[in-house]
Amino acid sequence: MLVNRPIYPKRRPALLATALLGAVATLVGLWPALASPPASAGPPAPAASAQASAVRDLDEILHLRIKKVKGKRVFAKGRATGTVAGTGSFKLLLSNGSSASATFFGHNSHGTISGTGVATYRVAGAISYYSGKITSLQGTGRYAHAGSRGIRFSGTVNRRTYQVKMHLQGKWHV
Amino acid sequence: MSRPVLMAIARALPGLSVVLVFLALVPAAAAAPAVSLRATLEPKRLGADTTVSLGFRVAPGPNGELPALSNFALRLPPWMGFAASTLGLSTCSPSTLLLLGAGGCPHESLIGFGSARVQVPFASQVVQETGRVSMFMAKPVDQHTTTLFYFDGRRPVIAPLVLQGELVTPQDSLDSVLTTPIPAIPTASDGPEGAMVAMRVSIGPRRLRYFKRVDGHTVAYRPKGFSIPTTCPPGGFEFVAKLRFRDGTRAGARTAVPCPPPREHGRGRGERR
Repeated sequence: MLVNRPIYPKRRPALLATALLGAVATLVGLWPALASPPASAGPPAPAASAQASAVRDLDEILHLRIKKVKGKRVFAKGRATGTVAGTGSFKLLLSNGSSASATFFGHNSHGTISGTGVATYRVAGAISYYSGKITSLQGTGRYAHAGSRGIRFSGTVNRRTYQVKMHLQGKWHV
Repeated sequence: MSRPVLMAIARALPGLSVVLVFLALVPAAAAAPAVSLRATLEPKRLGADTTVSLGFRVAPGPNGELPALSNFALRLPPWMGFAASTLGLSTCSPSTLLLLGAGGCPHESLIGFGSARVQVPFASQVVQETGRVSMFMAKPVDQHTTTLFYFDGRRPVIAPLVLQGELVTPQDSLDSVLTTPIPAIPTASDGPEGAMVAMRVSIGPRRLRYFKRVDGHTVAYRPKGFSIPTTCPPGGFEFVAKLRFRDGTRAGARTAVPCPPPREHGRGRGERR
């Protein structure tokens, strides 16, 4: 039998207030440590060191060839060189006459990596120029914890030869 | 009339005269001319590469006035981007067009053609000139894809006209807009400038041929045009034109290419004749 009960028990406000006070007290206690770095230039704690070393430079060049153009979708496949060398693919979905969303996928023996981003483009004869940023990044295997920390990409698509060259550059979290 | 009232009128007279002079100098607010817009797709089939034909026409306002056009902006459906097409594989420049005409541009920079009509007040009558318009791909300006319209004027338009249109995406918008300023149109009459009253242009592969070398032979081929999406939005594919005139008036028009009938969806690649 279903009984209508209040979602929050009557003692909940008191509990919440206690928890809130505790959180504020903790934050006040930690505030000096959060607001300013330690004056001494001693070695960082092991956890902080591991986290700092996990953010690395990404410098990746994709050499691809357009395999398929369907409607406003352009799909290219090829190889990736640089930080993560392997096989790569790049997909562009043209939003309108000057912007597009981009998806890339790469894999090698260590795992896979994929990302999505937004780009603007302009067409100059056979070459169209793209530039944008990767908004989300994820992976598997060695790159399971991959995350974008500001990766930008720029590149060209040759509409005559169907050659694509994309350069991804920035910081990423491995 | 009492003395204070007379004094008040005397004090207000200079200001009043300024207002009267201003009203005499400024013409009455002109009514905007009527604008019509037309768009067609050929073939009109979902998922097909197509040629887009666009045309606008300016009709005189209620008092017969026809101000000179200073800018036209054409909002295009999202799928009309050059990146997925092979239209305009080369570029042409305004200076080349002005010096050598349309023939001076690389053949692969041609992306469409049509015609335009310019109206010129000539003595007591109005003279019209209809000329051929060619549309070319140009190098980007301010990082925007740029196209050129070339109007080969003869008489009374005494000089060829090059219009430069930039494809821009306004802030907070998903659409791209082809914005084309129109310079003053010089005429033989040495009077008021000409007014562009109509233009139509077809952009796409329907009557275009590019050439490439295959095994030592020159082979003609049709460039890939804009691809119609595989789904049609409610109300069809919408085009919107906004025109600005030299006298400050504005006018707009919209049209939509209706969705292809359902029975055409399942047809093969062959175009219905």
